Amino acid sequence: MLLVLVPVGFLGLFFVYPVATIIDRGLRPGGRLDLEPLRSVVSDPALRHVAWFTLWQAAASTALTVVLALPGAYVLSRYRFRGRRLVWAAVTVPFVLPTVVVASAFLSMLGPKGPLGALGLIGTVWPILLAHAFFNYAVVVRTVGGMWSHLDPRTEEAARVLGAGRWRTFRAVTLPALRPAIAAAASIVFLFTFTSFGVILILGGPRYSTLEVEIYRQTAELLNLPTAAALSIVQLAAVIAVLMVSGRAQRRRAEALRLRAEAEIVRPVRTIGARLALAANGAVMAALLGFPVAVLVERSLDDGRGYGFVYYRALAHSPGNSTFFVPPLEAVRNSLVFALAATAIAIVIGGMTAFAIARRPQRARGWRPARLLDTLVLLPLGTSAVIVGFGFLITLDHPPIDLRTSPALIPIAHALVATPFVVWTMVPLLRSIDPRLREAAAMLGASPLRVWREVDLPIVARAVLVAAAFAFAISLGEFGATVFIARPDYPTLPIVIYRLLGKPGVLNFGQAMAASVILMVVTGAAVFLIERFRAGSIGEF
Amino acid sequence: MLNVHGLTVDYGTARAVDRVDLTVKRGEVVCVLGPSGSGKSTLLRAIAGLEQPAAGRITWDGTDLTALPPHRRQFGLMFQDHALFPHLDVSENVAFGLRMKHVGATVLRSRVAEVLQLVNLQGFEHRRVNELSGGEQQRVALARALAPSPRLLMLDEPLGSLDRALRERLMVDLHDLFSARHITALFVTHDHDEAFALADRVIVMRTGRVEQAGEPQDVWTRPTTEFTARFLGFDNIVDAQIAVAHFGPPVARSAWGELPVPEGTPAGAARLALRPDALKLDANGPLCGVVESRTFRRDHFLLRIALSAGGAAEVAVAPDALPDLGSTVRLSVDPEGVVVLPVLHANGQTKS
Amino acid sequence: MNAEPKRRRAAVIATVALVTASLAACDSSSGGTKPASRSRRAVTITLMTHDFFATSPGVLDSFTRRTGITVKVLKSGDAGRAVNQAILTKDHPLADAFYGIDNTFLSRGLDAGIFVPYTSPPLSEVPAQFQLDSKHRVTPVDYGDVCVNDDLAYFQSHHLAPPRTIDDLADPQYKNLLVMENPADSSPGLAFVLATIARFGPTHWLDYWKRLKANGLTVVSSWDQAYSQAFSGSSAGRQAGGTKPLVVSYASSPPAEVVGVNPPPTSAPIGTLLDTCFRQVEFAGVLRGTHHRAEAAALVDFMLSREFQQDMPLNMYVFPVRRDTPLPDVFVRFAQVAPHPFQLPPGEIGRNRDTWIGKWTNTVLR
Repeated sequence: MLLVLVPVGFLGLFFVYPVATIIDRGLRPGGRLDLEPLRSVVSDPALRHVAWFTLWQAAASTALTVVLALPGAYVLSRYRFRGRRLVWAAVTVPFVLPTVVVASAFLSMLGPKGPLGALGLIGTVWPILLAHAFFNYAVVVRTVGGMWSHLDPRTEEAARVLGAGRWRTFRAVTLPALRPAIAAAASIVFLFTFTSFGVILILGGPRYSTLEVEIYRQTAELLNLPTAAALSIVQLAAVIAVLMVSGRAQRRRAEALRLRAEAEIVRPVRTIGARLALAANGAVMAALLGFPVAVLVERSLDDGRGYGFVYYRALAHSPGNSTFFVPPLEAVRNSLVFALAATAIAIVIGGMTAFAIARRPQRARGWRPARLLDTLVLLPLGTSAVIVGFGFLITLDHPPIDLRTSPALIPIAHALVATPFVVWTMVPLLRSIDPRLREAAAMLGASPLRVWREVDLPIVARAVLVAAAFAFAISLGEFGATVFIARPDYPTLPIVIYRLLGKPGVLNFGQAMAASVILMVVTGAAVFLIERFRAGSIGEF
Repeated sequence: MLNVHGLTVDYGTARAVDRVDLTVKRGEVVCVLGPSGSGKSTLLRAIAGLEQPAAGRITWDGTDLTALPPHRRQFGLMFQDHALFPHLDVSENVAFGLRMKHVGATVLRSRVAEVLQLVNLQGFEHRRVNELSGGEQQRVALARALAPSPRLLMLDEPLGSLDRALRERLMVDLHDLFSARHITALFVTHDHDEAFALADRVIVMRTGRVEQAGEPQDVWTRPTTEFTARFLGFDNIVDAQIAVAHFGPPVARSAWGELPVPEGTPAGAARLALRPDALKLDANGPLCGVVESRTFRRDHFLLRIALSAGGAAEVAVAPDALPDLGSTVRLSVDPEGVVVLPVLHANGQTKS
Repeated sequence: MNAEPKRRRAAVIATVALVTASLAACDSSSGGTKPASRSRRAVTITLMTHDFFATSPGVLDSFTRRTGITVKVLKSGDAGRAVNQAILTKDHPLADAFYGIDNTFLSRGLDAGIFVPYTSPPLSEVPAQFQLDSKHRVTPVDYGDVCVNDDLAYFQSHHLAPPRTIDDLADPQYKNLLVMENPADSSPGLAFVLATIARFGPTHWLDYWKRLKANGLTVVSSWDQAYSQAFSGSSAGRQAGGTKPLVVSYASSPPAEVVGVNPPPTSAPIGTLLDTCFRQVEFAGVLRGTHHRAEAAALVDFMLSREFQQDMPLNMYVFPVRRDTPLPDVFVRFAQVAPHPFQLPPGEIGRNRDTWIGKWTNTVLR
C-alpha cells in the first residue's frame, strides 16, 4: 500500500494540486463555475483546427520515430560490434538538447542556404516530424532495445523452423513479445510530441500551432486563465484517452516472457545481411541524429573568419563583465546537482510506482489505485509546463510548504517529467519476471520484502540503471518546466543557452552553440558512465 | 505430521481442489497421482501457502498453518520447471534458503557443498544456471529445495521434463535420497511409474477430489473406480453380471462372454477391469476375435482385437508371438488380472 | 523557449555631450541612494525581474554597502511571464520589488493592483514623457525603441535605397525582404504591431497589414529566430544563411553587433529605420504585500541612481531614463534614438491587446 501512497502523495502535491488549482481559478473566476470558456474553446473552429493538427502531427511523428528507430533498436540490442556501448549512449544525446538549439540547427540545415535546402522542406510539416524523430529516437531505441536484448531468441528460431520467413517471424513472434515495450515507447513519444512546443514554434512557423502553444500564449503572455484552463482540460482529456488505449495494449501482454542474459543473445556481425543492417542503421543515425549535431558543432566553432574555440573561450570569460554572465563550470555543476537530485526522486517515486503497477496485474480487486497511478504518473508529460509552473506559484505558497522559491522545486519539476520513464522502463521487465521465481524465494523462507530485494530488485537492476540514465539525461536537458518556476538564480546549462540566445550579437549566439555542445558532451558522458555501472553488477541478466 | 482437512481451492468460479483430506507422516513419502488438470499441483501450492484456500485446514503437528504465509511454513517446494534464479549462479541458488535462515558463512558453505555433492553437482558451484542442461537444472532445484532442510519437501512433477533414461536414473537417486535421509516428502506426478517407484503412499486425484488413496501395491492391484483403473492402465472395461455358483469359482457374464473373476467376488452387477496382460493368446481360450491393430510398446506389442461377441479388447503380447494383422485369434483370461469395480458405488462416489 | 528579452533597445543620444556636461554640474550626492527607511538593519529583499536583468559585478554590492540591504534577484522568465507571475502571486508575493514591467504590460499590472505608490526622489531627473503612471505606482527606469533594422550591405550591393517609414515597407520594391516576430509570442513583434496601430489608427491598421502580407512579409515565432536566423545583416544570421535584409528588432541592435568584435569596426553593419520605432519604457515598483516596503523603495531609488543608470546600457542594451546619465562609447557611436517614436497609452494597450493580436492573427496568419 505504501508503494501506492507515496507516489500518489508526491504527484498529488506537486502535480494534481497545482494544476487543479490553476484550472479551478480559470473556470471559477469569481467563485462561480463558468463553463463558457470551455464551450467557446470547443466550438471555436480555429482551435478545433489546432487540436486536430496537434493530434495528427503527434501521431505522424510517433509513427515516423518508431519506424526509423525500431531497426536501430534491433541492431543495437542484437549485434556485438566495436563501439556499441558508445553508440548506445550517443543516441541519447539528441534527446536532451534544448529544443531552441535543435530547432535552429534544423533550420540552418533545411533553410534556403542550408545543405539540405534543395529539398524545400521549410514551410511544410516535415521539419517538425523530423525534429521530433531526432529527439525521440533514443526513447524507442532504449525502451524497446532494452527489452529486445533479453528476448529469448529461441522462440524466433522455433518460428523459423516452423517455416515462417524472417518477416513473418518478426510479425508473428517478435513484435507481439515487444509490444509492451513498443507501446510504452510510442506512448512516451506521443506525449512528447503531443505537447511539443519549441519545435512547433520554431520549425512550424506561425502557421502551425498546437494546444501546448495556445496554452502557453493564453497563460504566459495573455494571462487569460479561463481560456488556458479550458484548453488544458481539452489537452488532458486527449492525453488520458491516449494513455488508456496504450495502457490496454501494454496490459494485454502482461504474461511472463522467458528472458535471457544479454550475453547469450548478442552475437557478432558475421553475415552480409548483418553488415547491411548495421550499415543501413548507421546511415539513418548519421543522417537523422548526426547531421543536425554536426551542424551545431560546426556553428559553435565557426567564428565567421575560420574555425576556432573563440566562443568556448568567451564562455569562460565574461565579456561584458556582467552579472548576466554565468561561469560554464557553475552551470554544469548546477545541472549535474539538479540532475542527481531529480534522478533520485524519479527512481524512488517511479520505482515504487513500477512495483505497484507490476505486482499481480491479474488480481481484479484491490489494485485500482495502482491502475490509477499508472495513468497519473504519466500525466505530467501531457500537461503544459507553464500550467504546472504557474500552478506551483499559486499553491505551494503556504508554510510549511512555501517552496515557490526553493531550489528543490527544480529537481521536483524535473522528476515529474522523468518519473514516467523510470516507470515505463521498469514495468515491462518487472512484469516479465516469472512469478514462480518469487514463489520459489518465498518457499525458501524469504518474506515478501526480502523477495523483492532478492529477486525483483537484482533482476530489474539493469532496468533501473537504464531508467536512471534516462532520468538523468532528461533532467540535464529539461528546460520547459525550469523556466516557469520562479527561482533564485541557479542557472542550468539549458537556461544559460536560452539566455544567450535571447541576446543579440554573434558572440552570444556562438556561445549559445558552444554551451549546447558542452551540454551534449556532459550528457553523453553521464549516460555512458551510468551505463558502465551495469558491467559490474551481478544482476546483469 | 502434515494434516490437510477439507481443503478447497477455487480459481475464480472453477473449483480446483475440492474438500481434500490428506496426511503425510514424518519420514513418509506420499505421491499425489493424477492426470493434468486434476488439481494436484494446486493442492501442492495450497499446502505451500502459494494459493489461498477457500475452505479447509492445513496443520503441521497439530499447529494450524492455514493462514501462515509461505515463507514461514518451513516447507520446501521444487517447481516443475525449476524456477532457478537466473541472476544467481549454482551455489548462490542453493545457498538462498540458508541465507534466509541467517546461517553463518562457514556452515552455509559446507552445507552448500554437502547438498551439491548429494545431487552429484560438485564443481558446478560457479556455473550460471542458464548454462546448465535440463537434468543439471533439475538437480540444482532439488539441492536448493533440500539445502535449508525443510520439514516437508514438496516436489511438483520433479522429473517431468526429463528424458526417459535420465528420469529412471534420477528416480533411483531420489528414492535412495528419500530413504537415506528420512525425508518427509509430498510430490505430485502424472506418471504412475514414478509414483509407485518412490511413494510409500499414493493418492489418486480426479477433478480436484481424492479418487482413491492407499499403499502403492493396493492401489495398483485393486483400483476401486473405473477412473483409477483406466488411469493405471486397465484398458479393458466391460459390464458384467456376477453369478456365484454353489461350488466352483464365481463367473461373470459379460458382453464378451463368460469371464472368470477372483474368488470371493459377490454376486450382482459389476464392471470388470482387465489389464492388457490379463488376456493371453490361447488357442483354446473362450474368447475369439480378429487382430485390428498392433502397436509397439517398449518390451511388448499391444494388440487391438475386435471380439466376435462384440466390443474390442486390448491385449499385450510378447514380440516373438506376434499374430498377423487380420488373423483370427483366441484368448483366455487370467482371473488374477481381473478387477471387479462396484459399479453403482463408483458412480455414486463420483457424482455426489 | 521562444520568448526573447525586450530589452535590447537603445539609441544614440544626439545630445550626449550636453547631457554629460549637465552631469558634471550635478550634485553627486543627489544619486537618490538615501533609503526612504530609517532602519538600517541588515535585511534581504527580493527583486523579481525578467531573465535578462543584468548588472556589472559589484553594482548591487555597492547598494548593500550603502544601505545594509542585500538584494536577492529572482529571475522569472521573460518580461510578460515575470509580470504574470507577480500578478498570480499577489496574495502571497514572492518578492518585495519588481523591475521590468513595460508600457505594453503596464496597465495589466496596475489593474491587478500589484504595486503600491511610491514617489522616488530622483524622479525629478527623469523626463516627464517617461512618467506614464500619474499615481507613481511604478517608476520609469529605462527605455528603448523597437524598430526595423536594415542590412546595410544588402541595400548597397542591390543599389536600392533602404525604406524609411512604416508605409515604405509595403512598397513592392521591398517585396519579400521583411521578417518579423509573431506578436502573440514576442514583445518586439507586438511593439511593431502597436506602432502600426499608432500610425494608421484603430480602424485602418489592418488594411496596412493586408498590404504588408501581400508584399511578402515573413513571420517567425521569436526574436532570435528573426534576428539570429532569418536576418541577413546580423553576424549570426549571416552564418545561419539568413536571407531577409529587414528585421523587426531594436535600435540598440547596431551597437550589439559591434560589441565583442575584434578589431572594433568603425561602423555597424546594420542600420535602424528611425521612423518605424515604437517606444518601450521599463518600470520598477514596490510590490503590494511586502514586509520591507521601505527597503524596496530604497532599491527603486537605487535603480534611478546614476551608478545603476550608467551601468544599464551595456548590460541590458537599454537607455537610462535619467537625463544626466553618460552613455558608453559604443552607444554614442552606434546607437540611435528615434526622434518621434510611436506610442500608445498603456491603458489603451491593456484594453485592446488580446483583440488586436486576434485580429492581426486572423488577417496575417490565416
